[in-house]
Amino acid sequence: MLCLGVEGTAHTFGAGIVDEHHVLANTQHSYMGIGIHPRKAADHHAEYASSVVDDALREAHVSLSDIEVFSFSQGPGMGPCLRIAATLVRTLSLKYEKPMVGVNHCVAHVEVGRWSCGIDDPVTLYVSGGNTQIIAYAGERYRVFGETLDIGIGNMQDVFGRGLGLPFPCGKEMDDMLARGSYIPGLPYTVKGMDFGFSGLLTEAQKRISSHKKEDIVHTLMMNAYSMVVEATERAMSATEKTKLLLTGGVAASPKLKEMCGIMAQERDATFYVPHPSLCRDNGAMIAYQGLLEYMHGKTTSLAESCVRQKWRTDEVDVTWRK
Amino acid sequence: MEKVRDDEGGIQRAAVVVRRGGILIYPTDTCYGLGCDATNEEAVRRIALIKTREERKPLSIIVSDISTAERYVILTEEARILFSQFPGITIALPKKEIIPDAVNREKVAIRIPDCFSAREIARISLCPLIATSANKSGDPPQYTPEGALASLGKEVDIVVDAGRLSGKKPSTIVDLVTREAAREGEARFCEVVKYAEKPLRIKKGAEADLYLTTFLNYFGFGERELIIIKHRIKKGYRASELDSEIRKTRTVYEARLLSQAKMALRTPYLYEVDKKNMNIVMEYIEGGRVRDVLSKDIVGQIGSAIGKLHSAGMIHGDITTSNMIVKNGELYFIDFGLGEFSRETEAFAVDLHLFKECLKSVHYEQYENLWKILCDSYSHPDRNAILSKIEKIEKRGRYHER
Repeated sequence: MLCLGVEGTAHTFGAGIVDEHHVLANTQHSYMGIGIHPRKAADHHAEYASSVVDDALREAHVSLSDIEVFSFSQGPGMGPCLRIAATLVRTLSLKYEKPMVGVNHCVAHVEVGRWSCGIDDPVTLYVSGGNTQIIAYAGERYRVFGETLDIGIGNMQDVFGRGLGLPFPCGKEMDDMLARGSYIPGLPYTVKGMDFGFSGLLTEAQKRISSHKKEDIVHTLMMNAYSMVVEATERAMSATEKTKLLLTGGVAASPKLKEMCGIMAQERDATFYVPHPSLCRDNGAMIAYQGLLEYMHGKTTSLAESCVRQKWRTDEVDVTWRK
Repeated sequence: MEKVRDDEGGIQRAAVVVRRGGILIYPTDTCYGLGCDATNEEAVRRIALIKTREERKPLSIIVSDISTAERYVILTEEARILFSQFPGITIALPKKEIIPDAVNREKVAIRIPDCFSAREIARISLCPLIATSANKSGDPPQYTPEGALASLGKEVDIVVDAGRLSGKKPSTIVDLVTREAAREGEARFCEVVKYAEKPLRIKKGAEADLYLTTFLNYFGFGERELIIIKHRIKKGYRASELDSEIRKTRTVYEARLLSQAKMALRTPYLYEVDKKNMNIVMEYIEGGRVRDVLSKDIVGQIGSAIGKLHSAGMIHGDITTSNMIVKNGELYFIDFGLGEFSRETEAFAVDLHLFKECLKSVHYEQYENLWKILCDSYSHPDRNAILSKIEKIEKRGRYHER
């Protein structure tokens, strides 16, 4: 059974095609601006929507009439961006008279990770521009055991990087700078149980831009931030007594963060998994997989239910497919 | 396959089969065991195959008495005392060369079972017996020979039938090589450590290891009262400067809060702070984790205790039901590692918010009800301001209606 999924929560517009066993296509085009201007990003998505979908169909060697179910990222994310993906999928669903499924973007990240790494019950550290959450399954829900109390970790990097004049997104460049810098003591390290916050750290780092070497500030900012999320994740693993760790989201591309997660897992006899980068960052394949999964467990989204949900929380999703 | 009764003749016969490299199912003080001569490498490998168990998983052995144990492991005085005090206990010790690596590398877990037949088979066969439960990996332990055979298939050579076993708790496992109290069974850890020479690790936490010992053992004077050594472990993923900064600060703050918080609620007594080794030595509270026994009444106690703590200018920093213990109906707070001194509404609200998150993720069935009870029982002069601050904090986070 083929499912075409459309991702459009933030700066990436993506399309993916999957069947029960494989990712057949995963294409995207990303909005590049300074930060994300929601309306401009939506304009970008509208402009590239058809070419991204065409690319996916070509990559999978299928046509739209072969698709049996359509899915889209219904939330959470930026309203104008979400609406482009939703409108596209509504249209396809009506035109080809095939069902559609609106899925939760954060849950899709977790599920595609479980699927592609072949693991049953991990604690997931989901790190991206907008989201930083520690998610684990309990009582038929994906529960958020810890999360940022203010901004996402990627957002923190981008805001700081912008101040240094780095192009968006800044993660890669800052990871390179991290390796060249050394540690400055005394910056905030904010862990509140399994929650954490980055805004205090960001502000303090910004204040010190003029008085330290750039590399040292970046090093300290990132090492503190990564250490905070890894510590909180370890607490969640200890609390839930789970022994598998899944790292996903755009920031999962960071070699340093991967290294730190690996060490943490090893020190507590746990196993660490990270999906292929194309399935970690925002992508259409995860939306397609999640759509297919939910469809096979009886879910469809009617036109009336297909409104976008900007603030759709991970723990609000009824996880029917794991019962 | 041969079947014999659990009598003198049967045991004699079983011993002969073992001696010739056979595989047997035999009764023990816990469940039916699957065994063979532990010094016979081929037989040991057959056991792993029958159990469909990964070969590198360690196996343990049974011997008939302490002096026989000495042939297979390096026996310390401490191990001798534990064996004689706790019949049936399993102790991991450095192994001697006669035990092949197929059983375990470097060390081996050894046990003198509290079961006459098992000891006799070992004694008469003159072999250390492999002791693993007679079931395929993943199946439950079996208490009848029929159950064991059904799980394992008929690939064994002899079965010693003692009927249905009573099914005692599994054997307690103590690793004297790593000092780890690995599994609590029939013998309680709190009793075992009273006879152990040095502390035993009872928990590997996210940021600290907990060791259990007695006051007398640790300080060299005083009583055999149980104490906990909380050792903050080095985290390899953190930069070393950051790591030692964090561990030192938390050790000092935790100690300070543990003792000062006594004015507001119950905490373990503090005996020693070791900044160099990042250790806190404190009273052991023997009770149940609140996480396992949470009730409306306890939530009420938690609310009023946190209210008093906050009124005294202290923040716990990690209020979860895993960080509280109930002993004889009295509530104790432990783990102040993320605590601080503060009188800010914001800090009080974040502290309470943590507990709310804990209720939501761990005690989700009764979350709304329990959270209401907590708010009602939280007594603080600025109660209303603090509770409304919690809502503000939530709105600051991701994906909450503003």
